[in-house]
Amino acid sequence: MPSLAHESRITEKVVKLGHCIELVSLDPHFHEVSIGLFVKNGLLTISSYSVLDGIDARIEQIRDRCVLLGDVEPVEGTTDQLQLISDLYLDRALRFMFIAAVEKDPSAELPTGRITAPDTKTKLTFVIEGAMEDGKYVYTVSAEGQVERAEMRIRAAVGGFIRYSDCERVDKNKFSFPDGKKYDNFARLILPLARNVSAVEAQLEQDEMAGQMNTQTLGFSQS
Amino acid sequence: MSPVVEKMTSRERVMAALAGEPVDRPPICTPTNVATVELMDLVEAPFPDANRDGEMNARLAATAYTDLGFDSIAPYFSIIQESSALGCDMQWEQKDNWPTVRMSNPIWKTASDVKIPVDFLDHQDTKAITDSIKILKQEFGDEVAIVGKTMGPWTLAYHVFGVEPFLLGTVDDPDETMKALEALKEITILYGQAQIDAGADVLTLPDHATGDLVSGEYYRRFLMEMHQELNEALSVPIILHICGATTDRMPYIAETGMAAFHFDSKNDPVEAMEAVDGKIRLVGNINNPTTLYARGPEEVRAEVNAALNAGVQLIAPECAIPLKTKLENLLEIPVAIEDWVAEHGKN
Repeated sequence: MPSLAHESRITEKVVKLGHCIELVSLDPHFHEVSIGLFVKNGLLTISSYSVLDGIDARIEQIRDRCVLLGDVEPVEGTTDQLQLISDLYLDRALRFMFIAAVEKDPSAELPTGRITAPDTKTKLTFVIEGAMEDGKYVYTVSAEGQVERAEMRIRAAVGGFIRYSDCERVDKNKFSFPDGKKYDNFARLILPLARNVSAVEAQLEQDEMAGQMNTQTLGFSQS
Repeated sequence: MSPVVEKMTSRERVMAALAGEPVDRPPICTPTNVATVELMDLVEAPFPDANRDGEMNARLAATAYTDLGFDSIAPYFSIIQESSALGCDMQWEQKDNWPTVRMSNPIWKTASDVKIPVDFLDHQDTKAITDSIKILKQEFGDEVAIVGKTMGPWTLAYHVFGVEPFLLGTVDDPDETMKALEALKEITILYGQAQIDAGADVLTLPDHATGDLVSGEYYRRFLMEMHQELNEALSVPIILHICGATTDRMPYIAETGMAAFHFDSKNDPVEAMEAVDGKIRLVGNINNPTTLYARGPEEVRAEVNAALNAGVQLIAPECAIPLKTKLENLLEIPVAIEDWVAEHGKN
């Protein structure tokens, strides 16, 4: 066995990367390594502590998928960095973007064109369209298909955007991002989550419990 | 006024603090796991293999000292090594989750069923830890404290009898419960001694008589005396670990003679210090699920300061840390201690 290290291999890197806003434990498309999204001074960096061959190429692939999934752009001359397209910092949207970039099949085509998503609770299909209204870019949620509760489902979807993107409700079927600007990629990314907040929250809670050791996860407590 | 203490090695610091002697600064002594998925990648030693292979285990465990700057190395990450060697039904999980015992499928029913396999110490999962301790001791010598771990009889009873049958037995037939605990105590001693022989400087003894499940009176009735016996049987300082709200049993724990008690963030550190009344040292109690897992370095620092201000002698996360804990939060612990000492003077 090689001699164990006697000096920290992480301190410098942690300082350089900044705050970790999301950490995916297992990359299903690259040897189940962990990969994180970090932010420092408005600059986003994708990084891993894995030392496996090919990790740099995988990070670049994830970075490029993020550009397609979110309203972010690559930092010129880098393979692992991103920047926001505005001053708006959407923590949860960025986290969802990163998770999708790591976990979704990298060879799968990403949707383009009209922003739509089927409802998980009815047979409706949600549609989002954006337009300038009174100086800000407003997204209108509509639904295709015949369901009695359509209006309620649309209202719920708008609520999901408020929860996951800090959006503001403009009307019961309309929302805008906090700075009133256009973020079509985030709108497309968040719509499938916004339509069913309770299921997303349950999944997030389950993900958070994984890897936690406490009396509940050990089975040493009353349920 | 405390005597001036020169710069200590990590091991000297931990051993002095556990003995109640002056230290140059309070140590970060983690009695339980501090491995994370990122550290697993750094040293190519992922779960579950790192629990089952001595060399991988040593690589991962050493990062607590070499990379995080803690004063101890604790190579027994989980709570299942002995139970696996006893034949319990295991669920090894993946890199990002803890191996567990399927307690719904217990292996024994009564005290008379308790049998220690002749090859118990040679089983892959017990040997992984003793092998790791030997490697770590050879590599680091007296530089850093090596903290082994041997599960107490109460926790072993949950694993081998199942939680519900065992707890019902404490009501229905307390004498039988005591017989079972006495039999299981031999496993605690056997595995603890094996780790001491391998080079462990300290042993953690988790025994999950948790506030969630049993009362402080239960602790006094079933475990206090047994813990006194375990402390006498094992020749290194013992850190007792019990999760959950435990302030009601801390006065009893303080009477065990053990070197320290590793306590949960469900207990206020000031109240905990009052409860033990100087009769045992405290280790803890930085919150895991909220602070270390989900918050940032500022909140970690605040909890380190709260523990130090209360007089907690050894600083550590409250329990095995979540495997997705952010490294920035772990690195903040030693920095916060250094800053606290700079402001308040030596302990």
